[in-house]
Amino acid sequence: MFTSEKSPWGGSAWYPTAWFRDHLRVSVESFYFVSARLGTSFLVWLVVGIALALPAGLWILQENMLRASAGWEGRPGLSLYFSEGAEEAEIARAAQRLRDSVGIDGVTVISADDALDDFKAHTGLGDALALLGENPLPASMTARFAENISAVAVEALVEKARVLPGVAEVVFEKTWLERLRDLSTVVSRLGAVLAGLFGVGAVLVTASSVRLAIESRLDELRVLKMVGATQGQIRRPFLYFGALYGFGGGVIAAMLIAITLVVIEPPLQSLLGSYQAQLDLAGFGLGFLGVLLMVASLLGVAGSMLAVRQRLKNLELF
Amino acid sequence: MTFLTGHSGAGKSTFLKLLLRADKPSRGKVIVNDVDIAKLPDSRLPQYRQRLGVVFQDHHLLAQRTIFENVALPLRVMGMRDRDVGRRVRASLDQVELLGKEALFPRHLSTGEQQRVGIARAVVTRPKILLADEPTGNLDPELSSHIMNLFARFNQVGTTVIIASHDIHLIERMGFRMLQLGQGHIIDDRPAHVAESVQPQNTGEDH
Repeated sequence: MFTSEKSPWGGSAWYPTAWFRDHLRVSVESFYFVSARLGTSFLVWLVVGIALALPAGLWILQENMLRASAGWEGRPGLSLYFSEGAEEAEIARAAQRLRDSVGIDGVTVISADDALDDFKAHTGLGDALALLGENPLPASMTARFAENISAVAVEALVEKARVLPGVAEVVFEKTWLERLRDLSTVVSRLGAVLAGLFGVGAVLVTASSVRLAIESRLDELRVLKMVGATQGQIRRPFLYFGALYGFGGGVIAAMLIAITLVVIEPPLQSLLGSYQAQLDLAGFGLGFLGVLLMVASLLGVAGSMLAVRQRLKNLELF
Repeated sequence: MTFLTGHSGAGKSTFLKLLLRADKPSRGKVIVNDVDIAKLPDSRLPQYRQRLGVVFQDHHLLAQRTIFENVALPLRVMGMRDRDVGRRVRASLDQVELLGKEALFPRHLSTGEQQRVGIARAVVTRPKILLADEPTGNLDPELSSHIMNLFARFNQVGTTVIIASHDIHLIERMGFRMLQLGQGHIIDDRPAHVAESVQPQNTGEDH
């Protein structure tokens, strides 16, 4: 009875650091292979980079939109404008009644004098206002809604605010904030869909490039197989190619996003300046770069695994 | 050391491919050291092939790698340390009289030298079995004799050598066992007789 479970002479000599040594050697060789074909490699990096830049850029946009909406006191609320000549006691009573209402998280009173000072500070029209002789601005009050307040409760509070003593006008400040959040959700979901689509694109581009690299080295792969290389050893260089293609694509994507941020910064600064807000773009930090490069490298490895699986599965010897 | 001979299509190369497990038999067994390698799991094939040395007529050297790296390839696959690789590669090149040409590329060598590099690569791991498929097919008679003597020397130090060749005169002169194949069957099995040319000899440089 002949056995077939083990090799005729057992295993070869085992070298404990062989695996690490092989990885080191293959990674260096792969780096030289990719850099020696810089033209081709750059095209792959560019395509992968463009594919990754859009979803990654949308993520940054969404992060900043969330940040902007959170910075705006986090929740919508009411603005109440009092009629001219409203008594201070009347305003204080109205503020107290609103504070006592369920669904109100905080109330801020802005007196007519404070409003005038604020207006002067931001417009520089103090001299013109001095000619009027009296303060034309009314006292006002802002009330912030509690978290998770229902639409019915909001409507009830609006109605209640309208009949408070001395109140001339009530403005429900929900619109822009809610629209911003809705827009942020749209951007987020669009980013997710694009990330999926362009991620598949990046995988296919890398797979195609790795496939070309495999075709150009078929003779070497056959020799490797003949001398007893394992499937892992045969696959290894191409996984490194994929990782390098992906990593390079990630670097290109980061550069494209950085350039885009530089380009949009002046008009955005101008837009926010008109709202007395400072531009402080967030999200493009070391953490973002690390995740972007890691995801890009993993997509590259996925592409190369696809190519290797297809091409090397049934590689014939000579 | 055994020669396989026969006309084209007789099954010489197929026999070697079966031993290399490049092909599987449609029926029957391929027994090597009490193991049926036809049923060897794919996961065990690398281990098995690391103990074989293979030489082809067109040597399959890698053009982009130096002679040193070509010969070192099987040792790299085995994971040998660099200093051991260097020692073994130089010893192997010394055996085929190519020491000093490590840094050259295959295109810088003559056909005979390239064939000897292929042999050096095949024996660098000190294989249990050396398989050679028409190793002298492209060489002149003098160089062929030199290559065959190399194989005989490896055989003398304990390596099983199986050579497929259609050069019947050379085979007869070597005096080793000869299996003549025809249509996939052994049609003649001549035992070894006293060899005439197995003594190491210098046939002169080939250019």
